[in-house]
Amino acid sequence: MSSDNDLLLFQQVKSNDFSSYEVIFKRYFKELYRFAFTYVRDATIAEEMAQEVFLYIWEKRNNIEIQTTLKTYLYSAVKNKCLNYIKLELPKQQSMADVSEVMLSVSMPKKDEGENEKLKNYIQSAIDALPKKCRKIFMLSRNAGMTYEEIAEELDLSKKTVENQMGIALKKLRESLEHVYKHYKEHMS
Amino acid sequence: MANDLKVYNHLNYKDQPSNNEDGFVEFLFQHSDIEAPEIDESKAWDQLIQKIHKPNRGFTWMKIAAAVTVLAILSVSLFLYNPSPSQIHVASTDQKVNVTFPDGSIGILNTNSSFTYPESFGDERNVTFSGEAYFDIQKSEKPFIIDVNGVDVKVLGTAFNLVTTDEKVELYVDRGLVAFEKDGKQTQVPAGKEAIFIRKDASVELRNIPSANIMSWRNGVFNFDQTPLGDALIELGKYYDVEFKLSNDRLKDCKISATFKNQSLKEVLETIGTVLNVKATIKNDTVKISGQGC
Repeated sequence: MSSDNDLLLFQQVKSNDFSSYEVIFKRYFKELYRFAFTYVRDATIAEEMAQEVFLYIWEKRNNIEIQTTLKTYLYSAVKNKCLNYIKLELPKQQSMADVSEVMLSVSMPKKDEGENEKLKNYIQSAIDALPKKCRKIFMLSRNAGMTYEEIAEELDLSKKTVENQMGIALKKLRESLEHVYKHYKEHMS
Repeated sequence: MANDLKVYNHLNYKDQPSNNEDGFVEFLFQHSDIEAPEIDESKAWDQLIQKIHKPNRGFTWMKIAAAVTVLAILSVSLFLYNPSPSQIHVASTDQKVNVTFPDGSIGILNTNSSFTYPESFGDERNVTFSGEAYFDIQKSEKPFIIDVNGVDVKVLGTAFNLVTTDEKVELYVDRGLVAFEKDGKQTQVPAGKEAIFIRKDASVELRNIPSANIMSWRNGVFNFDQTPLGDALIELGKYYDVEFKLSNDRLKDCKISATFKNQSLKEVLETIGTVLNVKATIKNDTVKISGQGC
């Protein structure tokens, strides 16, 4: 019944009921944030994406006609925002880490609770250091779970290019994480 | 290792399993699955209220007050959002800003540009604009009219780039058909053409071949063909958000031919350095270019 209730709530929002808007926010904000995170992998950006969508539905409430369910509407709005972000904003950022930096920062982590975290950080830095196109494609594939066809369509590339770029991404990650991986294997065995 | 891709495809897309050589991809897979950190929902709510209250972004100092004045703002925003449409003003400073208009049309403001539009459109879709922006307009019976300081740009459903300055209005049409209108006189501009409206004598000049890099600020693709370095640097500076300083003025006239597609600033500078035999050094947001030149 919650989807019926959702649409009712949204009708209330359309008649300027701010408290219904707050109910919708409380119901969906966190999950939309987590959903955005799978695309953008950055808590601040993910939060902003989810927030933008909520801002939009309040500001444009009179022009929004929901054909499906509110939940579907919100999810696809967040998805579109994130894809736009990855397409338009991400390319502007300089790679956050240098590959050499990743290699240098491999100290000797002890086998403790923090080790997994450290590994994740190394890997994240290596992903951040990928060339922009590679990084974009890797993120859409690995995080957002989009197929190569979907990515190709989204970025206006051929499927072949997308696959090639994934190959390049893996190759570069292997290169930059070689030391980390070697170290990891030695300690695991 | 081409096999890495196969292993990856197996893990990520459940493709056919592949001979797995050393477990690197599994390792990568296992440790690249990061979870979203917890967030403070009530803080996010406060911020949202603040944004609703003030659509003009970027005033962080507002955030400080937000937490304390939630209740006050709540009632104010309810009051502000009465049925009579209020005007929304969005201005960009040092970053591009994406704006979705009430009809779903999209405007992407380049830096230092602004839109003013009503919260909801009536029979006409009127937007006041200054600076540079890319528009993707939803098709509708209601004309979309952009007021650029006395000149109207009229649209029915299309995508185009618009730059306004005190002297002129430059319009590049990506898709569809757009018209300039001044005192009832209309000039239509079809897709692929660039039109320049000169304010001084209200004349319109149509160009078949638009400036090569008119869309670069949006897509990061630059084509320079015997372009004076001075001009190229203006385009690049806008996109990479840096200021170029030349050690000697003669460098400005050096011609450069190169294509850049979504490259990093560093890569672009390396190419320019090699082609023109100059040295580029980046410090903060300033790039210094030095050399004898051509």
